[in-house]
Amino acid sequence: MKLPGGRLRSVAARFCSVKAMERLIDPVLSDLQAEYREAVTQGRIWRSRWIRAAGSIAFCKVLAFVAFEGTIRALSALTDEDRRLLHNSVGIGGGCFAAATILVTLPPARHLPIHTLPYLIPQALPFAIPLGVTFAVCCGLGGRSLSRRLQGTVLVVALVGCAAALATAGWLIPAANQAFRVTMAEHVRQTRGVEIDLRRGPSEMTFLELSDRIGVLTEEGSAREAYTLSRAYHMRLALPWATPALAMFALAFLPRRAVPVWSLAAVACGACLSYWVLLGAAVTAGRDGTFPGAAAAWLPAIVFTAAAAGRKIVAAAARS
Amino acid sequence: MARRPRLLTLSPKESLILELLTTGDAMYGLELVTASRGRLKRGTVYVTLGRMEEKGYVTSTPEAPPPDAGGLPRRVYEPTPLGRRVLTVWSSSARYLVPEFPR
Repeated sequence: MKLPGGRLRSVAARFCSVKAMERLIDPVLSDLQAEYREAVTQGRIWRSRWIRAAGSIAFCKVLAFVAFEGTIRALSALTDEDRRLLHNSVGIGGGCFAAATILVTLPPARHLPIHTLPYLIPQALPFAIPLGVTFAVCCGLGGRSLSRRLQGTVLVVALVGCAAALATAGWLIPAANQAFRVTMAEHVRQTRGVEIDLRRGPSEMTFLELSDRIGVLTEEGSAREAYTLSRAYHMRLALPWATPALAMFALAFLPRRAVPVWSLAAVACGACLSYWVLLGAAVTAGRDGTFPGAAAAWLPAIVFTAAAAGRKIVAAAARS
Repeated sequence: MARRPRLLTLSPKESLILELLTTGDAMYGLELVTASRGRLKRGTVYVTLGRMEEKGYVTSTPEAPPPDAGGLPRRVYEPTPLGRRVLTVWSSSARYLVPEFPR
């Protein structure tokens, strides 16, 4: 009988300490295997399937706890110098994030009623978060040698930023867009007496709604519309990954010797600009049909991550 | 300044686990979940047991899987003398701390 949990254990063993494996991971999996074995021996197939699913969920919860505990421990184990650098970076990143949010939000807000401003802010976040993280890494940590622990912490922060941007793109922006439309429709109705159609378009749909709509359109045979929506779906899904991709890129290509701050800011500007230009070019190619639409959305994240990984591999080879 | 001694604490889940372990035999994590009648969940019982082991309230030993069955050894948990003492003190002091409401 093949028992479940072998693959899960080998995945966990890559990330968890020996102590965490002994005290947390192995007890979950050993109980899962024992319960599964008992169910299969008794010929209760559906129960064995349920046990496998429930055991896997329990395993994920334990793994999430181990990851959370590890992050807290890593943060508390940072040296004073690392902590000072991290504080600096958070300050710089926070400033850039705020500036980018204001710059993206204010120009359209000038012509709109002031109470619509909160609906415009979420639009800026998927751009402002990667920008803030890239400037934080370049200007706060550039020009010096970084410990592995600090680099790991930066990547964890970038992944948290990615999760925040994903939640914003998937749920917050559609809700804000629809609320904005409702407010403006009411304004137009009162001032001009015109009724506006408030049915949700692609920009007002959450990830799940977009995915369902694409399925319906594909079934109906509306391939062109399905393709357009699929591009929008992948675009919103891929955009948040700019944060970890740019953070990895910046960590890999930052100069390790002391350089003026303006050159570090130039590196950050260059990285962000290249990312958005590449994204713009790929999206245009996707719209023309010369490049697959879904791949176009993911292209910059893939290119920047691959470049960072390549640079790390070359550096490691040179060291050894 | 002299360092204060560490105060031993017992959360409601830890207290429940100690109660179950002191009233019965040594148990596996899943047995504790079953015995708690839904008050302990699969995903959290192992984390709580791990924390209690660190605090020294419980101890665990791996038990060899049945022959020719294969798989990982199961871990069986039992309370330590410290765990029993903490539970006794905690339960008796909690009796005085719970407010009594007039009926």
